[in-house]
Amino acid sequence: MSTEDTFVRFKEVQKSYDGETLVVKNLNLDIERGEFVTMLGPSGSGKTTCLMMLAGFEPATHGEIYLGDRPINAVPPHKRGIGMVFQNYALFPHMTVNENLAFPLEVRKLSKSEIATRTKRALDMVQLGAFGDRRPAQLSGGQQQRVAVARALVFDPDLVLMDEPLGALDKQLREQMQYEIKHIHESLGVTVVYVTHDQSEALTMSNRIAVFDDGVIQQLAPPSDLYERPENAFVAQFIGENNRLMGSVEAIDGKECQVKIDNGEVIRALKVNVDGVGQRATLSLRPERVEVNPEPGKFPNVFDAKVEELIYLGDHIRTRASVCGHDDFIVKIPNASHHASLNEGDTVKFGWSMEDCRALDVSGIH
Amino acid sequence: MAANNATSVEPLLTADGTPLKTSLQRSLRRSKLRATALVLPPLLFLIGLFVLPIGNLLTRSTDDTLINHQLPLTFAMLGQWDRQELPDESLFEAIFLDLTSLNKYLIKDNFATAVDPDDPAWKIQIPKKGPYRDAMIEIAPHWKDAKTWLLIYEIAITAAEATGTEREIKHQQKRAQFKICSMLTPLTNATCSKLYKVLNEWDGVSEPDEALFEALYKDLASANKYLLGKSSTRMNYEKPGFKSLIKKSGRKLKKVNEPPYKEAMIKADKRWGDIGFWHALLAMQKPQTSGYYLNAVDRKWDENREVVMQPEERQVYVMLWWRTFLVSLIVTVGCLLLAYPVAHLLATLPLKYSNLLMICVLMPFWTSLLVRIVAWMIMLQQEGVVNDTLVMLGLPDEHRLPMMYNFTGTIIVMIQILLPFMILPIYSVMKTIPPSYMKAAQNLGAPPSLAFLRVYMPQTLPGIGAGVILVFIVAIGYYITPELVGGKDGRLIGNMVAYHMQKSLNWGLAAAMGSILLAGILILYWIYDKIVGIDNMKLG
Repeated sequence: MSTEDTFVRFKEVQKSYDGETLVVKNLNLDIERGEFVTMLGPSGSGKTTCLMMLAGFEPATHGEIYLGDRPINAVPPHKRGIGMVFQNYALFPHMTVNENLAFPLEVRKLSKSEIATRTKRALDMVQLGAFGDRRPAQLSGGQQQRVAVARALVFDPDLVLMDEPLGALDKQLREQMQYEIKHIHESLGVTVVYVTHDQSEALTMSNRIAVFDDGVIQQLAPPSDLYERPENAFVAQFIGENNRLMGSVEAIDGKECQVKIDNGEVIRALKVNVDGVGQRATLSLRPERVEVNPEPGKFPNVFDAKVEELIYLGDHIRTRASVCGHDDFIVKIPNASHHASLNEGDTVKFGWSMEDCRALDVSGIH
Repeated sequence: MAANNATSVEPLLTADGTPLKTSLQRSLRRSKLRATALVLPPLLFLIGLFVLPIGNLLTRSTDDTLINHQLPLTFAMLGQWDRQELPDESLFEAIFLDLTSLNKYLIKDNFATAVDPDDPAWKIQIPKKGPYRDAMIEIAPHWKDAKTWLLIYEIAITAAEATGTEREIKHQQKRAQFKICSMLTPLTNATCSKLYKVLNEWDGVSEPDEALFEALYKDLASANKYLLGKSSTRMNYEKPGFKSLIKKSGRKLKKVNEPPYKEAMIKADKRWGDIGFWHALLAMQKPQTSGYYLNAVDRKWDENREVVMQPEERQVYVMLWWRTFLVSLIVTVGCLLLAYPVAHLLATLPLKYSNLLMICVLMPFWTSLLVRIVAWMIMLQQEGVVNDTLVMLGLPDEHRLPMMYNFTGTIIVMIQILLPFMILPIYSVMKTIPPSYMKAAQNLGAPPSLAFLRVYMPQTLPGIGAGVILVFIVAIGYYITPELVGGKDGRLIGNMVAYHMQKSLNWGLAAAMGSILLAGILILYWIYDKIVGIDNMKLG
């Protein structure tokens, strides 16, 4: 699907460190100009390796990476013109903030006045205009983070890579920075490739998310698709919370299928990733899509549930119940007046629609 | 609000009513005491084994009291001399009395501030073969009193009553003999054995008799001879030939009993008529001297009390100082150039290889210094491995490179020996620099060489500083290696310090050189602090 707008392209890229195992297996990925793509996955899934290959610090064992139309496998890192924000910022400790920002410009032999204006503009962009003369050690973690972002952008690169840049910040600051980075991306129109293992970070900022596992992209989709329409069990499990019911396919009818759960109940689900009748399948159901004591006839799937545990979380009440022989079935009940208040030990009815229950493969389950 | 205001004015109290500050101090007292107790042993160790000995040695670099004890009368009269012509009879008489008589030991305060040249006691002669009692009492009447003797009597008696093994008793007696001498004379390492013996036979009450005075005379006479020897050595530092002059005069002046002394002394040795020797005395007049320091930099006082260079043939030290500085500088730079890549390898190689490399770096530490030096001798000598290889490769046999027993040899071997002192501090700093800095620099557009120069190297400066200071300081005082492989033109100032400590026994000069070295190092340290900053130094 090569279009004019494709800016970064991984073509059949493989990477092995020891010659025995592949860390990245046959990666094909096209990133459009101006896009914010996040590589999301558990540690060891190959996402950082991909980023390092793109930045030029690791050579690809096989395949080719293109930047624009140019293959860049043979281009050394300093000639790629890619900005990067490192995990621990890598701000040069012996230089002031201004000197750090001026470094990429001095290397490019810009004039002094040009350097001064650009440095100032970049600092203002991250709201640190008054901190130019400080050393990185005199800044807080959040401020260092902003400087790192400013430094990666100060020389106007077309592509910026970010390697878990928010990992060292506390939760509140992290959320704030997510919005800031998102806004910077939107206002500059720069292409961003972002690596993280934090799904909420990925969902907040990205245009598209590539979910990595075991050196393979499991799914590449916009955040809403990824959450609402996971294509396999791994993605369903990795993104957001998820009730998993195991069973085997009884019948397939168009886009719908019937899956017999291991305790004998039959559930009607959306056929997404099942091979055929008689195969094992994983049913994936989001906790917030379950309704307690639904009106009769509203849902095709209604089952008895015994409330095991209630956890009060403010905006919603997390309910653990036994359904269809699974005692770790989670339901999120909004904390609103018209919702029934449950007590532990109650027996109630849970119901959900066919479209919300997705029948997926079993292979991605670890 | 009101309550808050009240507490900020009045002192805070704890629950039981004691002021907060008091109870805080009380609770901290225990930990403070413990901390002090923990620090005390190393502190005492440091003071006892480092500060005191070095302080003692450094005072020797200016100490000139011994000569003042030997020539009190001379120095008292020397001020009146016009320094232009040969001194007159009175000064000759003074030095004659200083050299030959024991009167100075008997006259109280003779070498403190109150040297009285007009005291008739200076000129009283003690008959050489006795009786000594009357003459000595005439010089110093207080010796007639038994009380004067009691002080040294106590020492002798206490030692005689000592118990223990035979060895211990002997040791006690010896100590007592030293102690008696140090009470009567400025000497701490002369023995007064005769006095010790007769004091033991005395009852401590009856009037001191001739036997006591004879012992006093004889012990003082041998102490005087000893002091004369020591001080003539000192005089020889000021003017070569002084020692032999004093020695020769000592023998001949025994026969002189009558003034005029000037003629008699010049007759005994005509060097007394050389004004230069008298000028030399001027340089020793004060109990503190800067002579050793001047000597250590090839300078001396001339007759007008001005600092001048030593005569050409006696100039050695300035050249040695320069050479020492040069060698230290070359060794430091050489070490830095060799150590930097090694340290970088050590810090960046995978653990498996870096461990192996680390063992190679530390191996010299585990090998005896002498073994290493001898190994270099085998490598570098005229018929050594390196030269043989070069000849095999086509170097003409008669052009074998002289690499041992000279400047080159000293440099090569010192660099090898001091290399770990440079590698380790640099390595320890490099180890803490994450590789992401280099990556970031390259990512920002700097080619690897520029990234190294602008980003990596500035961060290793603390290690470089520590290594440079360490190696330079060790190198500047080095002496074993130059001694063994330096030959004639590889000798350093450290070798001269060792020589003056062990061979010539001119401790004053050795101490002066040591002080100059110490001062030099402190200055370097200060400069380093000004330029780089001491808190920017990482030793490990």
